[in-house]
Amino acid sequence: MFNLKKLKFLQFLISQKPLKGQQSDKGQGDKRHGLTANLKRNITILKDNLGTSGDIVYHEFTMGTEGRPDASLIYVDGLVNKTVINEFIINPLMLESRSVSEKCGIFPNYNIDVIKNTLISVGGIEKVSTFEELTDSCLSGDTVLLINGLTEGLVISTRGWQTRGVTEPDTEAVVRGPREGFTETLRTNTALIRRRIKSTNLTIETFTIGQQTKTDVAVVYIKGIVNPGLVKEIKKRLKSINTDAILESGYIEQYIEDAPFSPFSTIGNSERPDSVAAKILEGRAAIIVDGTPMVLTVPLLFIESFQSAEDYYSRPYYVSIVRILRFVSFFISIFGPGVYVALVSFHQELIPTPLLITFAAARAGTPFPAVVEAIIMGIAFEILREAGIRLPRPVGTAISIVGALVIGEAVVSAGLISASMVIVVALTAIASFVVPPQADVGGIARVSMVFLGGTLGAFGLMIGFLGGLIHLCTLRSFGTPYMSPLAPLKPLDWKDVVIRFPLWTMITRPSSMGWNNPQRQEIAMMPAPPQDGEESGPAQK
Amino acid sequence: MKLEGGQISPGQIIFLVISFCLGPILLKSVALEAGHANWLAILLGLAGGLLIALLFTSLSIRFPGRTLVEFNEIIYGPLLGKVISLTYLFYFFLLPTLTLRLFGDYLTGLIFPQTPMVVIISLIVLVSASAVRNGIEVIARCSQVLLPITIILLFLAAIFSIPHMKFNRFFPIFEVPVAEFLRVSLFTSTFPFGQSIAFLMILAFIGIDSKKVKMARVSVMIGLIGVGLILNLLVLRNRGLLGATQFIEVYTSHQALGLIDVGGVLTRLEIVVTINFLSMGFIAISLLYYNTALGMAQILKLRTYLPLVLPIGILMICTSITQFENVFEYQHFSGDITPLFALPLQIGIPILSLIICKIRDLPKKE
Amino acid sequence: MKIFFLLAIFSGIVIFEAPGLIYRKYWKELIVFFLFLGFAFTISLLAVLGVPLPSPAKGIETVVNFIIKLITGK
Repeated sequence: MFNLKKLKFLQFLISQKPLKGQQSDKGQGDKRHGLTANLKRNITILKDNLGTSGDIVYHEFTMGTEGRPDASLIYVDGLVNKTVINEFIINPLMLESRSVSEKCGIFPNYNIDVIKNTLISVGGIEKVSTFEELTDSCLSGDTVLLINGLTEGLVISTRGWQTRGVTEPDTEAVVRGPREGFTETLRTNTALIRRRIKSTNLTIETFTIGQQTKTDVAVVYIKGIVNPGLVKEIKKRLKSINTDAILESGYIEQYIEDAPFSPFSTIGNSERPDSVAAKILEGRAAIIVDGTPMVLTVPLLFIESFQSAEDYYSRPYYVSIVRILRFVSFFISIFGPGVYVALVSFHQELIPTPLLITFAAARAGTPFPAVVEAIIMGIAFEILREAGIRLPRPVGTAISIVGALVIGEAVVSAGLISASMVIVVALTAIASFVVPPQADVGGIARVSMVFLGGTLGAFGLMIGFLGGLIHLCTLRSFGTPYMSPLAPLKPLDWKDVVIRFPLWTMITRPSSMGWNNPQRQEIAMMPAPPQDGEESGPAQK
Repeated sequence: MKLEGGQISPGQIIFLVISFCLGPILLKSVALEAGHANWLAILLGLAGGLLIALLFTSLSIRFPGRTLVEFNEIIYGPLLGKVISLTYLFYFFLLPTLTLRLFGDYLTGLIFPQTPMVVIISLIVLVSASAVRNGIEVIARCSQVLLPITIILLFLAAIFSIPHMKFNRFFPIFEVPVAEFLRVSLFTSTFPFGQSIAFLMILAFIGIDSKKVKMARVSVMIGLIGVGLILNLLVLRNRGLLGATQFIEVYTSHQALGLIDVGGVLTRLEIVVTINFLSMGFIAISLLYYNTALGMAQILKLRTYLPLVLPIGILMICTSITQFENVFEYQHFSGDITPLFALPLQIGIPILSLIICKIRDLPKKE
Repeated sequence: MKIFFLLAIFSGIVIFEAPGLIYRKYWKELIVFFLFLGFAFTISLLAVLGVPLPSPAKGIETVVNFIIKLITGK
């Protein structure tokens, strides 16, 4: 167990100062101070804090009659909804306040509550009294109202910036099922989940992480279904993050995952509200990060990679076959080239004779041993894949043509690589696309399997398999064994592993999650046509 | 101070017992000295093994949550207890070196003639060491994945071999003298069944819940019965495939599966034996390796057993390579000497411990 | 060459195990670790050099044979 925390004593090499001191930029000293009654002074301090960036608008005006009191609106242009500001803040304050004040006499005996309760017709207003709160809410898109003579300001919710609409996600496409995907806005995402789970128990807890980015991070779970220990652990880990920037949920993932050195990810991600909702309903918790459509779910089990949202929308027969196919594909994607190399270099006797002759004919005249062939082709495939992903779409097709022609055709006809190796690598490549969550493990595992298979044959492959198995059995995701329910064996959870049982048999939630509320539905729910003699609806005589 | 934080369930004990006992013997037929009656000898051995299991599980029920090393010191006092524990640890250390040697001989002899034995043995020890360092939970989970694979492969191999079997190979049914038959049965009950005494170190991690501890005894029994059935399947398959030639083969199962031919597509299934042997042997080796390291740490009262793992592994590699000069020496030792060495450890000392416990009324309530 | 390889393996083990033990101040464990490792190193060095090592199996065989003789009186 090599633990990096042991090396904490080396920290003095990196920096003499503790991390917190780094962020002390100018004006920070004033931040914690309260507001003064002097508007001019408040604005100066605020300008000092927020800087003189061009997108921050300081809108000064007067309220009521006789040109007093002075007031000021501060907001970030582009983050706010201008219509709201113009019609529901500036309009009542500047124009309607005059008529109101004449009738009711708000001014000159004005106070903050009167303005908050009677003048501004926007939902979501809060009183604040420190500069820190002011700047924070201003930077997240709210509008700040400061009035001369008052030691409190108002924060008015006017968030409204340009967003991408709710569109169908590119990953996890389904044939049957909803087409909605998460977007980059936290509120939209929580709303997408809330729309699916209209329960009072659905809890959304928000944190702010990142000293510079101040990213909102929400933990979503269902009270009463989730294991309370899990939520506590997530909060503990989230609070221990002390960094300057969180730009994507991948940042959070890498700060809170259990096995940072493992090629396997122990935190799931999804772009689909329906699958996230299903996972929350099974007792998991979701972590939504503002600014990205990828929502994290914890804990992650190994078998979740083989499940897809559509599995539960379709009827169970074909799904079960597809599940088995996915397991087989995962196996092929890791062991394919390794097994082939082991077979042709060590265990020719295992290949049926006609096939052996074919292999031998294909391999005759190729210059490299099978191991080298496999490694070359593996690297070529990874290059092609990377090139295909990063390039703009029209060029991507060109890449695939070049790849198919050069790798598939020319290399074989030139006698550089045997045709059977090309077939094996191509099959492996396709198989690796079947289980996308584990695709990045495949690359590493494949190369090591080729190496082991090429040096020690089946024995090497077995050693590699055992090593991988030990590693998988060691992993835990937020306290849940990664290989559960395979190992430790949980027979109750096998309803959703290889064979997807009909929904009406899935009486309990997965016990791997450590439920405190196992039963999720009635026991006798098998649909059955009405028997003779029973009252039945539209039966035809 | 807990050396091992893991906890295992009675269900996992079943898997562990079966994998552990199958580990060293999947390569060969068992009790071949009993001739054609070896299946009967296995059943008799199973009965003996169950008695041994009853014996040692009553010790573990008496001392829930304590390992062999810990309660030896309570029963025999600190000094004698340590000596007895060391004898057990030596036995736990020796058994995997035998299995490792079998691996080495088998793989270098039949599959990889050019590979040095030390490479093969070191790799297995390395993999086992990584399992041992991760604790008993991981070994138990690995057995839960590996055992079903092994059993499926065994059954498939048995089904595929039916067309190649000849019924007359199962006769004569009983041709050895009764005394010899009983000797072989006794030896069978010490190996493979009796070596489950190693679970005295493992059963402690069931916890101290008395219901669970009692269930663990049942689990050990179920596991042993499972081993007996699988072994019978194995020897009958080998008998049917090989007939009398099985008495002259060294690696019986390997030879037997070599005969299988399913429609010209699945031929020469020896690799199945290698896979099974390796996966079950891995569990057996890891478990005993774990026992040795953990027991040593408990004897020396250390706070962690992890630093002992790799040195013990290297000692295992050296011992397994140097202790025999050839396969036949190994066969003589594992067949004729180990059972006699194991008998007092598996039957004598547990009985003695139980008697002392009864007399001294142990464990004393605190 | 072989001895160099052996040295590399053993120093690798020391680098792998020792820092954690020192960090946690497990001095007793460290001493036991080095004792065991030293023993293992001696044995493996002798094995590499081709010195015949006493086999525990032979020892057990002698003891078992002796006891059998004692019991049966042959």
